[in-house]
Amino acid sequence: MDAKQTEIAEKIKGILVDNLRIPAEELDYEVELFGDGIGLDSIDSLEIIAGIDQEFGVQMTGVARENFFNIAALSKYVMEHLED
Amino acid sequence: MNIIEINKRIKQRPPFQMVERVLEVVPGESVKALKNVSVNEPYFTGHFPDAPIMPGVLVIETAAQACSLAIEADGTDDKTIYVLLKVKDFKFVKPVIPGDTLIIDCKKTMGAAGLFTFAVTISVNDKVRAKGELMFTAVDKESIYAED
Repeated sequence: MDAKQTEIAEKIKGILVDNLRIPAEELDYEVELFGDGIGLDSIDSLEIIAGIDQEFGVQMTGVARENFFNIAALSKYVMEHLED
Repeated sequence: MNIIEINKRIKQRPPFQMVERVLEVVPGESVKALKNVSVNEPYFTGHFPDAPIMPGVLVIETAAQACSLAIEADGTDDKTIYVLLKVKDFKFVKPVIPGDTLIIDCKKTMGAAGLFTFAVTISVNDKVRAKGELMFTAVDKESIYAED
């Protein structure tokens, strides 16, 4: 993960901590967000999509599930779709 | 906005219609609405027989209906419906009782990717009775009733 992706990942972590109130100490970039990991649900995913739209202007509605697997996957998707 | 105009924009009806007048509305941003709480409302029969208190969930419903007047463009779209997704940090500072006139103040705090969040304050005589945050989204009506 390069410096730019780390910066994005840190902002996404901030969205998860502030909007979804996940304790920061439970979050690293690799932990699985849904299912057996943090256990987020479909409403949480909508809030993540809204948070990323607000923060980065990147639309993730309808994007494949694997892009939501963890913060690393989310930040990779955002970095690849950021408008320069 | 009076009750006739409200009826054109929201689909709830008595005994489940909670907004009686709109005092101010900025479409897509905010709404200030009014509800008079009457002892004749059906829930007071059982909640509670000797101490009528408006149930907290109905205070939230009142705020949700007010918010829908700010987010729904003109209520004429029959295919979509706005649903409540999340109730966050609601506090009931003091009970709502018959005779109260509720002023419901809703301000949008977030609107992105089809989600809308409103900060809501419900007051009587300028004193806060309840406050919290509500989140909504639009869904296709048919999808609600689709078989899993």
